[in-house]
Formats: sequence, C-alpha cells, structure tokens
Amino acid sequence: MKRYTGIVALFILLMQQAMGQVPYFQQYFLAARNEPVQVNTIFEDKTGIIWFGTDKGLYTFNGLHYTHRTTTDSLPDNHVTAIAQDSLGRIWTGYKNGQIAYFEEASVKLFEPDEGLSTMPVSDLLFDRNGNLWFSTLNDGLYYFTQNRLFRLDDREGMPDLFVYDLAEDHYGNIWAGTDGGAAVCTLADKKVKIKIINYDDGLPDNIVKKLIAGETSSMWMATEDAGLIQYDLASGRVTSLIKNWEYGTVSDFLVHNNQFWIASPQAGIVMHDQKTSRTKVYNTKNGSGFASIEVLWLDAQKNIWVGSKAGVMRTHGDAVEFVTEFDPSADKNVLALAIDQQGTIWFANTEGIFRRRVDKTGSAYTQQLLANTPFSKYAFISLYVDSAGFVWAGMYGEGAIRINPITGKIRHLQKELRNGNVLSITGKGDEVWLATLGGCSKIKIRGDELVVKNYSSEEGLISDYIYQVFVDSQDRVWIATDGKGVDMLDKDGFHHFQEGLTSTVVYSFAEDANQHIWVNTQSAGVFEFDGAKFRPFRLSSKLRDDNITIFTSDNSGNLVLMHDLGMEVYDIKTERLYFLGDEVGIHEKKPNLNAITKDDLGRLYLGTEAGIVSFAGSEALTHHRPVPLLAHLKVFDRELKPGSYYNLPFDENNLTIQYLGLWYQNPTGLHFQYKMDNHDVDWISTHDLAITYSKLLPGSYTFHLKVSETEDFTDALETSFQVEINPPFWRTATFFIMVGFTVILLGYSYLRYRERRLVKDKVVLEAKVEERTLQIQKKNMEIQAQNDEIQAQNEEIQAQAEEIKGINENLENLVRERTRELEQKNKALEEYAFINAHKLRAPVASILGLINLIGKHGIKEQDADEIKDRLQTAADELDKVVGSITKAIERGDT
Amino acid sequence: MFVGESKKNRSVKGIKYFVVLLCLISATVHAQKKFTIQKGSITFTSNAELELIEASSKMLVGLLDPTNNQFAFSVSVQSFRGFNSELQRIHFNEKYMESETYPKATFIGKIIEQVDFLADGLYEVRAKGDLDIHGQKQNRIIRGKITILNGIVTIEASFKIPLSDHNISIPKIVNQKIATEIEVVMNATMVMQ
Repeated sequence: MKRYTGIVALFILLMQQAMGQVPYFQQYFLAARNEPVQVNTIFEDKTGIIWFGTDKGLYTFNGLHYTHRTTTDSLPDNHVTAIAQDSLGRIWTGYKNGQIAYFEEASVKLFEPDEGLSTMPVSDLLFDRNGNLWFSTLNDGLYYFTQNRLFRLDDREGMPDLFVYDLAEDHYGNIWAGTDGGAAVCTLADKKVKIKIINYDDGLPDNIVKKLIAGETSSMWMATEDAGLIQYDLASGRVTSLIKNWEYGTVSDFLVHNNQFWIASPQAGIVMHDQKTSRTKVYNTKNGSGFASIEVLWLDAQKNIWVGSKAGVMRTHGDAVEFVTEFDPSADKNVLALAIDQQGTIWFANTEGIFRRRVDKTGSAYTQQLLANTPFSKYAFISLYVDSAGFVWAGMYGEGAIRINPITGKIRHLQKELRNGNVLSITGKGDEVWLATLGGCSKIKIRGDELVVKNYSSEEGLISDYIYQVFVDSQDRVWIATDGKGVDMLDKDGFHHFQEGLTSTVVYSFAEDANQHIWVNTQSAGVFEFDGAKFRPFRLSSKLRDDNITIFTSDNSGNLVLMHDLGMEVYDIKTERLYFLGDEVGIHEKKPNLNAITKDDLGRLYLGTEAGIVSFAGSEALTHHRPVPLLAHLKVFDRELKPGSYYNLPFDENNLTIQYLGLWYQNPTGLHFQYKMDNHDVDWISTHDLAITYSKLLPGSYTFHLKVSETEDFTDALETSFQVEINPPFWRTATFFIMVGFTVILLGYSYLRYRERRLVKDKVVLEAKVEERTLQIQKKNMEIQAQNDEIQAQNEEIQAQAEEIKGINENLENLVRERTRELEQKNKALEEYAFINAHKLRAPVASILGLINLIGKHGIKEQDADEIKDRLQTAADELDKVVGSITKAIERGDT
Repeated sequence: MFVGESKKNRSVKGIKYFVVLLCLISATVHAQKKFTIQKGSITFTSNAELELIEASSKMLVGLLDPTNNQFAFSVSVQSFRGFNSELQRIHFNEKYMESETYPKATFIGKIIEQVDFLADGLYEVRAKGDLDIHGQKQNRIIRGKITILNGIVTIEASFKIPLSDHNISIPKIVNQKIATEIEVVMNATMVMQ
C-alpha cells in the first residue's frame, strides 16, 4: 500500500464561488421579450386562473394564453397593486392611485363609496368571512367597508401607523394588519373595530411587519423587515423566530408549502427553509437574473410557486428536483461518479479528475479540485463511495482504487491487492466495502486503520469476472451484477446463480424496495423483479418512456427511482403507480451516467449526468396533483355564451363549439383530453385538440363531459361537465301537441255542440213547417172532400144520361140495321143491272175497237169506206141507246 | 381634541360649556391661530313620496385648526327654518329631534388629507369624525371641497344622513311624508382669528 501523507501539494485550492443547487424555474414573459414588467401581486382565482398585477396593467394566464388589461380597458390605473376575490366570485383589484375596481362579468366597475377613497396605494385587499371588504393603504391607514359604509382606522382608533402593508384573517376571524408600527389585530363588531397592537413590547424583534399568513389554528406567521419570519401564538402570546440571526435582508413576501418556508427578499433572492430538515437553501441572482428584486410569491392549487419580481414572473414546482450545473473551475459538466461525505460535501468525478463541492449558508458553492499535483492526476476516476468511517473511496480505470481521508487528505492506494485495477463501481455496507471490477469483485473489511482485502472471481466460483455492481441488501446478502451472465448472490452458503427470466443477461444494477424485494436493471431489456427463484419483467415496463435505463435505485421510502435520457421515473410500490418527471421540472436529455448515483443523509438522491448533477428529494416530495379541466368558451354558431353549467337553447341554435383547456402550469401543452357528449357520443373520444364542434344537434338533453390527464391514463382524471338542452321547435313540443290536441277536442266539441244546436233548431223549424203543412193538407183535404161530393153528384147525373144514351143507342142500332138491309138490297140490284149493262156496253165498244184495229192494219180503202162507216154507225147507235137506258135507270133509282 | 359634550350634560348648559371650552382652548393656544366660521349655513332636505321638506340654518359655528387639521362644527337644532308649516317645525323639534334634550348637532374630527391652509389652493378632502345627532354618535367620513383664497377658507360638503343611524324613528303613519335618508348640504366661510 502506498501512502501519501497529507502534503500541501495534494490540493490545489481553487476557491471559486459558484452557484448552489437550484430547482427548475420557468420564466414567463408577460410582455415582449426583454421588456421588464414589474410584478406587484400574484393571485389565483377559484377556477385556477393566475392573475398578475403589474406596473403595466393586469394580466391573466391559464398556461397557454395571456389576457392583458390596461387603462384603455377601463382600468383606473396601470399600476395594479392588490387582487382579491369575493364570495360571489368577482375579482377585485387595488391600484397605486388608491382606486379600487371590480369585475362584473367581463366589465370593469369602479368601487365608489360615498365616503370617497384614499389616494395612497392600495397594498392589500381582503374579504373577511362575513363578506366585509378590508383594504390597506401605504400611508393612509386601514379601511373596512361594512353595511354599506366605509370606515377608516387610524391613530384615533388605535392604529399604530398609517403605513399598512398586508392583511390576513386569523382562525378566529380577526383581521391582522402589518404596519410600520407592529401588527394591529382588528376585531369588528357591528360597525366598530377594536384594535390590539403587537409590537416590541410583546417580544416582536422588529416592528415593521410586511406580510402575514395564518398558520395552524392559533398561530400567525409574520415577516418582518429585518428579523425574518416570526411565529406568534395567539393563545399563549409567544413569539418565536423561524431562523435565528436572520441575515438575508428585508422580506418582501413569503409562503408556506408543506413544511417549507419560501421567503422572498429583494436582496437575497429566495430563501427556502425546510422545517423538517432544518436546512436553508438560497436561490439568488447567481442562479439567474429572475431572482433580482423579488417582490411577491404565490402558491397555487397545484403547488406551483410563482415568483414575481421587478423583471417578470417565474414558476417552480418546489425543490423536489434541483440541479447543479456549474462546477467552476471545472468546465466539464459530465459527472461520471459522485458521493457525499459526512460533512455534506459532494465529491464528484469527471474527465478532469476528482472535485469536491460544498455550499455555504448564503448559498455560495465552493469547488476544489483534488489530487492535482499528485501522480493520480492523470488517471481516470470512474467511481466514488463514502464508507461508514467517512473516508472517500475513488475507483480508477486501471489503477485500482484510493481511499482518501477528507479531513487530513491522506491517501491509501489499493492496486496490487486487487485482481483487476478497473474499478467500475464501489459500494458497501457497515464496515465492508465492495469493489466491482473487470476481474471479479473485491471485499475490503475496515478494521480501524487496517484494510483486509478478499477477492472473488471465477476462481472462487463467481459466474463471471466482469462485474458492474455489487449490492448488499437489508439481509446482508451480496448481489453481484455481471456483464452477460446474469446475477450471482453470495450468502453464507456460497454463491447462487440466478438468470432465469432475464431477457438480457447484462445486469447493470440492483435496488431493494419497501417489501425487501430485489430488483435489477438490465441493458436494453429494462427492469426485472426477483421473486426468489427467477426474474419477472416489471409490470409497467411498457409504460416506461425509455428502455435504456442507466440509473436505478430506491429512495428512503422504498420506492424505485430510475433515470434515462428522457427523464426520471418513480414507481410507488404501495400504490403501484408510475410517475414521470421530465420537461416540466427541467429534466430532459440530461443523459445520466451509468450507476452515477448517491444519497445524502436526508435521503436526497444525487444523480450524475452529462449535464451536471440532478438532485431529487425522493418519492415523498412528489405531490401528485392533477390537471384541472376548464371549459374556456362555449359558442353557439358565433355567439359566445356566458359560462355556466346548464343551457337551454332553441331548436335552431344547435351548433355548439366548445373550447377547453387543462390547467397544468407545469406542462400546459403536454396534456391529453377525453370528452363525451351523452346522448350523442357512444364512448369517450381521445384528443389533443382544444376545441370540439357539434353541429346540427337534434332536440334533446345532452351532457358534455371533459377529462384531462398528463398521460394517456384517465383512470383518476378530473372531470368537468355541463348540460345542454335543445328545445324542440315549438311545433314539436309536447305542449304544442297538447295544445293542438286540446284545440282539436275543443273544436270537435264545439262543432258537435253547434251541430246539435242546429239540429235542434232545424227540428223546431221543421216541426213548425210540418204543422203548417198539416194544416194546409187538412184544408186541401176538406176541399177535395167537397169536390168529391160534387163529382159524386155529377157521376150520378152522368149515370142517368148514360142510361138514356144507351136506350137511344139501341134504337139507333135498330134503325141502322134496317137501313143497312135496305141498302144492301138496292146495292145488289144495282150490281146486277150494272153487270148486265156492261155486257150491253161491251158489244158496241168491241165493234168499234175492232174496226179501228182494221183500219189500222189495212188502212182505209175507198171501196171499204162506206162499209166501215156503216158499221161504225151501227155500233155507235147501239152504244148510245144503252147509255141512255142507264141514265134513265139511275134517274129513277129503281130496283 | 375638543369633545365638548359629556353624555351627562343634556341640557342647554351643554352648549354653553362647549362654547366656553372652544374659547378657552382658542385663547390658550394663542400662538396658533384657528379658523372660525364667519358665515355658514346648513340645509337639509327630506324628499319623500308625499312631501318635500327643506329647512336651513345660518347658525353654523365651527373651528378648524390648521396645525393638525382638526375641526369642530356645531349647529343649534332649533335654529332651522323653512318648514312647510310651523306645526311641522314644532314636531321636528319636539318629537323627532328632541331638541330640548339634544340641542346641538355636531361634527368633530380631523381632515385626512394634508392641506396647507395658509396657501391658496383647491382641495378635495375627506373629513373623518363623529357626527353626533339626537344624542347618537356615528363615525363618518364625509367628502368636501376646500377652497383657500387670500386667507379665506371656503368649505362645501354634501352628504346623506340615514335617520336610523341616529335613533330618529318615524311613525308609520307619516313614513311617506318623511324620507328615511336626509340629504344635507353645508357651506361655510372661515377666517383666521
């Protein structure tokens, strides 16, 4: 063993002031970049929106968008100095010119009491539990407004001073005012106020009280100008200082978060005092320009801490995760290994060598390089460890390891005692220190000044000589991580080999959880749990954002902490939930170095990365808040509706546009949403959009639900909803139908009644007519009857005449018969005569005719002429005679 | 601060005591001069549904101390004139104001804003003090305008007095003839004495 006694040349003290550890502070630019905006007050309203009162007007912020109001938007002044919210949800603002205005819907209304207002700046606004308004002014006393009257508290009522900085309500309802002359405790009864003063006489170390916050039950925290934070117990009257011998300057504001006091001082920056650990951290201008002249702090519902200064706004999520990025004088931020000694100094190794870094009370860090003028300065240090005796072990790549006494500087070098000089990691427990090398592992027992070395390699039964890490668990079993051969475990029975279940046999490191289960981290295959015989993959492996895990350990609560290039993941063993820390706390692409992990005495983890050191307070410090879904705008076509939870719309206003967002100041753009419209959407719809439009909604009842989550898991995401009822057009409503139905029935009924009446009327008319007709008929009847009688009489007369005629007829008939007989006789005689005469006639005629005929045929010859003449004469004379006899016969008319 | 009346003295003696005290104080503080009212009036108006009553008094007395901004004003209740009838005035004094017992109405206090009374100027100020009417004190902040010109201080103020503030009760029978809140206008010219 080589020993180097403490020689001055060992150390080169390069005392340089560097920055301390600082959490991630996100900067917000309210105006154009580089334009400073002095922030006087910060306030979160009941919906979760953040308000900033500045010298350039009033801003609101929801994580994505700002609104800005100035005097052109009717603000009474551009210097906004106080903000509060009343029980109706209205935001009230106080100004440097003494004015006070409140917002009703979106319009600004001035508070104008009859008594008039002060012209001095309004330093604070408060609504007490009974709804009375109190406001404090700088140099114009304290005012309260009750029963429609404004009252002023000044020396006459016992106010110790007119300069009042801040107001707070205590557990009992009293209003505390911080003034230049101590704290004034005001009790309001009816309209009068009684004042009790707390100042030097009561033990207050400083009379100037700048800020008050009510503590648990009966205590009040007060921030003073020069003596830091004071706790006053209401019951006992006891006064205690939070930090004795306060040396951080004046206090402008403070807040209480878990057990931490975040105190803003324009001179010192932010002083964070943790009551649990009794440690004080300071974040100041060395960490960034945003820490200059801090005026105001605010803790929001998601436990973000907002910081307002003369330059603008910053936000941090507390000190759960902090960073060390400057290692002046070393320029190399790539921390390969680190360890923390018993004095709280961080030892780290980078390519330039080994350094140690301590931080003093004011937050200034001092870094020293070690071994600069020693032969060790050219060796590469790749591992560090602090043993139980407080000595610092440093492992080299090839030259073994050294053990340094941090106080004396003495160094002990181990190389030939080891089988291999490449010391990849150093761990240990109690009086044993284990070195993991490329030639197996070495156990070194510390016996006072003596170091007893025992080597284990394949010679002793170790499965592999290439060892990444040695881990001693709570039961003193020694676990050995090998490169390619899985895991060996050494206990009193010897070596046991485990490999089954591992999809990668390159094992980097071990962790033991709260249930004393052993876990391993492998190359490219992630994390496995050991069940006693074999390995099972981590149930949530698929949810891990990166498979290449380089740091794997457990915190003091027994929960698993791992880090990869995309950030840190914490697995809570009890709740079986996985939490991711990334961008929002500033961890991203930090590229952690393999197994570069150490823990301080409070359980805070320090991880070495290529970009410096990340320190993590452990799973206990994680406050799991959820993003809050917020319905920002609801529009029907283009018309904006007032915010509310129930809407009743007519049937033609059925085009809804819903604009929403999630309040999650840590990471406002990385949110996932799910929405569902009952009665329209069958199931939840996932989206990253910030708006959804429903068009042509049919009449009906709908409920819109919105959920938001930082991951794709919505199991316990917060939800918000509202109801919309679209009324059917009038001609489809039940009332309409009823009305119509009713009208129809009414009409029908009226009609029937009408008909009935008409029928009745007709009946009456008819009856009258019938009466009339009947009478007429009766009359006619009588007439007919009379006529009948007459006819009867005539009938008889006719009858008699008929008899007479009949007799005559018979007579006539006899006569006619007689005559007919006579005629017939005559006729017959005539006929006979005619016949005879015809014969007589015919003879002459025939002769004539014959002669003619002869003439015709032969003509008349001279010799015949006389004969012919004679014949003709004879014929003609006969004819004449006959005719003459006929004529005589006719004249006589004889038979 | 001079608060002249003690609660025990309810008789006319109270006024005398008050005035004497004023004089005494002004006499003793001979080095510091005070403003006193040269001319002053108070008018009150009751604007009710069925009746309008207006009455004024020119008997306003007062003191203003420019060194500490304190003031005291007082008016005799019985000095108000202008009622709609003599009966009304008598009722006012006997029934409502009980002026035998409470002869004076006073306002004593301090001006909040810093005013330089010895230089010319125009100020809008607030006067905070106790308004004592009908034996009932109310702490009030009353706005007023102060004009200072050539050593003469002119004060104008108008404010409202709810009758309930000062235990003045109106029987139901006449409540449509008397307003619940009375409007008051005060004017005063003060000079250094």
